[in-house]
Amino acid sequence: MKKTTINSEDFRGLLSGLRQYSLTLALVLVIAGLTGCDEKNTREINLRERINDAELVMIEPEIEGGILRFGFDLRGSPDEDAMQYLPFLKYLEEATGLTFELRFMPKGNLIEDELGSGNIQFAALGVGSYLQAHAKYGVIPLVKGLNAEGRAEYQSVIFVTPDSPIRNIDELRGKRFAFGKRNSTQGHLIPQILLFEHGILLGDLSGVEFTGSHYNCVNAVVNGRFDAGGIQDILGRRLAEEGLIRIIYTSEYFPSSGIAANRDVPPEVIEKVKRALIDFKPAGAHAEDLYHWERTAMVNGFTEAQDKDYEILREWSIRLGMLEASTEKKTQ
Amino acid sequence: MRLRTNIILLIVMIVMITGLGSSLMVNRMMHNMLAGELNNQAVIAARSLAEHISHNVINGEIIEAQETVIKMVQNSRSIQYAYVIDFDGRLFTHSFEGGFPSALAGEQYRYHRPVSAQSPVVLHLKTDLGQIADFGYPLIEGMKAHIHIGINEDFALARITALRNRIIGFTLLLACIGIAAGIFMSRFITRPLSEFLGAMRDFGTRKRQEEIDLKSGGKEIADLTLAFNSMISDLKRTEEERERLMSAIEQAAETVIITDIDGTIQYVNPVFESFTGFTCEEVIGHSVLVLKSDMHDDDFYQEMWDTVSSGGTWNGRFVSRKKSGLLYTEEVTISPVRDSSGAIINYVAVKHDITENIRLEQQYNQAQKVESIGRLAGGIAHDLNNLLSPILGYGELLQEDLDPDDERRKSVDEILRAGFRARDLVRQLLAFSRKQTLEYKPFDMNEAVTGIEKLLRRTIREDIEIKIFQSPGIRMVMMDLGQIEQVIMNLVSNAQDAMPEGGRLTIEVSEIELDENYASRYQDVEPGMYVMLAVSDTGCGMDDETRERVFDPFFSTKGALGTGLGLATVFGVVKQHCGHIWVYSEPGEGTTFKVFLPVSENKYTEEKPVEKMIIDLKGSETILLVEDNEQVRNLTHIIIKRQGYTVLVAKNGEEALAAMEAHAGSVQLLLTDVIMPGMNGTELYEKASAKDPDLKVLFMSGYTDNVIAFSGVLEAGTFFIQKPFTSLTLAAKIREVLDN
Repeated sequence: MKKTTINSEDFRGLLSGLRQYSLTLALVLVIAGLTGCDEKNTREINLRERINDAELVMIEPEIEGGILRFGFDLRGSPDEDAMQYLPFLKYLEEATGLTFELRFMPKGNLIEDELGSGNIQFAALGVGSYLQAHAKYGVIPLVKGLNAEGRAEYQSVIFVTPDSPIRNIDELRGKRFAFGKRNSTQGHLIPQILLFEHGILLGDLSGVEFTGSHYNCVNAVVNGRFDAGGIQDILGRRLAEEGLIRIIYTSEYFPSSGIAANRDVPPEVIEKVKRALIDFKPAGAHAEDLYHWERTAMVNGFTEAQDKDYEILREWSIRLGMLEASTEKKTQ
Repeated sequence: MRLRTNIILLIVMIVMITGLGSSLMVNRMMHNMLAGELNNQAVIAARSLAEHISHNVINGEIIEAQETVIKMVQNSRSIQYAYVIDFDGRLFTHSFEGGFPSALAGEQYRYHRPVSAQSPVVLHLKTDLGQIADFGYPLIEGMKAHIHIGINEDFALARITALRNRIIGFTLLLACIGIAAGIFMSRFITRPLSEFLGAMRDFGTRKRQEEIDLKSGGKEIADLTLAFNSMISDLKRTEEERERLMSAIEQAAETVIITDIDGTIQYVNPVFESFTGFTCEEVIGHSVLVLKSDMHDDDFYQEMWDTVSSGGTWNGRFVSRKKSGLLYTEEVTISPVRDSSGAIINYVAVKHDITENIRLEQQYNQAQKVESIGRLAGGIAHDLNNLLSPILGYGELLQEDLDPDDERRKSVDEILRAGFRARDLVRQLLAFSRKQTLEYKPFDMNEAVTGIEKLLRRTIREDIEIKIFQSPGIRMVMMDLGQIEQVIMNLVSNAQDAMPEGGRLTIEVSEIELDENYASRYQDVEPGMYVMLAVSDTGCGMDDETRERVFDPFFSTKGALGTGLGLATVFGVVKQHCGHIWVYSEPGEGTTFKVFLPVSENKYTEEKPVEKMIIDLKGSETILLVEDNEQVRNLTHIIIKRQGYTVLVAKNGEEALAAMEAHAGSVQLLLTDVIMPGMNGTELYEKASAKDPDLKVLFMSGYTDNVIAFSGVLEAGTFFIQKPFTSLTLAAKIREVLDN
């Protein structure tokens, strides 16, 4: 058997080599370790300590002061609506220096009540809602929305499904009819005015439902639950172009809905906001910051509004029983 | 560290780094994936929940929202809890049973509000329910209301941990496999390297000279082998070149010394050792001054040093000293050796011993000197012989004519005695100058010594002991006996003179061989067998100066008693016998002369001496005498005419032929000088004998040129008489020729 001897020089060489390899290995491991380390910051908390709901209610959230809540009715999905309105509020913040917070109105909560009670300071109101809010809470009209033609008016359309045999509004007698929100001008007041003008009362219909929104209204008709429906003109035209619905009647122009303020909002704030709203150019300078603003009833921005602008609709509302004449008078 | 260990460690390190790195990266990736997955899960859940309950929250439908929230939590394994904050920042609903966690109540008010769906707020909570990631998500983008989903990470973390542990285990397994593979691969890699290393070591220790042939190891090893083999070839070529150069230096006849620039010896070749007596160890590392002889002054060495140190080559001679102290002369070339940058790094001295050459040169000069003197002596001898011939001849005639009682006869006797002494002196001169005529015959040197022994013992003083050592059976020597006897007599006489107060004289005869080595040291020696005649005395000896001049003619240490021709004659006779003479002498230690004569293969044939006593020298034959010297011609005419011969006299060849033609009778003998103006004696005889084939001839000569004409040796049947001659000698010689 071959005998292997290691002299001191070999041994020193071996140690030196091992030291080099060890250092290299250690360096690599340190680098790998550093690169392999997770940089997450972990907090240690105890989830077993609980507080009940009663105690939880007692914990008041930190309310940020100076925030002006701007209310909108939910027209489509919350996300979609938020994407439309948040850039608008951002514009207002930049234009006024004020802070706004978007609020959608809870189902069952009327926006006129929310505005009137001061839960929100500003709101986009349909004419019907405005008339109610003005009558009940004395909200202050600020601006009216300008449609695509630059007019502060809008319309409603009566629509059916594209394959519906119904060709005109007169054929709706005895049919099922869907409205939008009860206090919606374009989704309720104007369609009912149209029906009324064609001699059709609600009782002449085989079924009536307030679906809560223009989209719900469309869905109800398209799904076949109703034979026809009434919605705002812009949405109606778009859907018709898409072939989803067929418009059988378009209303005359009525004063468009607008934006109103709670009567407790300081006049200078109101003035500042009104000015900003009038200066808002959704088809012009501010177009690129907006998201499908054309789907709103304020395609071309706003123009100053006064309460008298809504007189015709106030009369129709009273006439159709949507607004109590005594209430209106009382607020006035 | 060994390559094999290196490879193993490297593989293990690579595996470990790869494995652990992968593990950590996977861990991190899994965490990130988990975070992403949880985030997605939370986002999906939150979005779904938002879609479901946003109307509820807007409309304040707490019960419906709570049912939705609880149902979602119950249907999910990882969602630990969920709660909803409304647009006023109040807790709208939650999934907890038994109340809402107070800790979250504080958190959600103070810190925990998401900005947007794109950047949900995530809180990592370590709770008693486990590790929880709390995702805050807006209920409606851009609005204050938001949803919180608590995702329990423990389940996912457990999976990650299990996966990580598997990876680590797999890594360790890979490390083990890597070690095994490393060992295997290192063997695979290092085996050819080990073989290669072994080959290199063998090459380094010269155990191996041939190229290596590694079969394994891949292209790199093959390339390495190729390069190594190429290097070996180059090295072998270089080594062979170096060895060739070294062999040339080692085997060179010249002495080679290499020094550094300070003159310290770094290398000497074997010739140096054998020649100087110094070994390598004795001189390497020492200065070249160990060889200094003190025969040259400092300026000589300084000039030499200045030449070589300035880059030049020094050529010249100097005398050095051997280890024994013996001095020798060298022909030396000293050259600087430069490196590639041109700087002098060594000096190399190539030296050739010329001591022997100088000695031979001196011998040559000596021989030239002797030759010159010999020529002079020969020339003088010719004239003296011609002068002595009439003196002696007419003296004898006068002596014969005078009555024995006549008072004038004493005077004539003195004239003749002086004439004879002069004749002997001339003969010595001729012998010294090797211009005398020799009669070579094969003789035994032992007999030559024996023949002269009686004469020696009578001649040498009685206070000198004579010892003769002979060597029976030695080969013959072609010699002129008379001349060799003269040599012995001269050497013995010289020895006697060197021992004025008596001593021992030793004569030794032996046959020896003079080899190439001996012959190379002397100009006049051909290697071969010789008969040595050594004559030694125990006399006063000679110093070097005397010894060097001992054979010079007319050099004598005996003052007026010596002629200076004794040893010169010995030298001449020996040389004329193609022999060699060697002398050794030390002052006070006596002298030894050794004469070497080449042996002859000829057998000794003892000739019976003609013991006829020529009583009647007279004759009646006709003799044609031809002699250009008038005195000699007249004297010779008188001598032979007195003997009764008819004499025809002529002064040259033409006259002789005419006289012969004119003579009516026949001519029996032509007595002629050898060298004469016009036709010489030999030509004359040829023409005369053509007319008379019975014509005999006797040549006369008193001059060395005669010897040249006869090539120094008389042909058989040729008769010759040396001038000067006596009337009796001439008459006897004539009678001998005519009677032969």
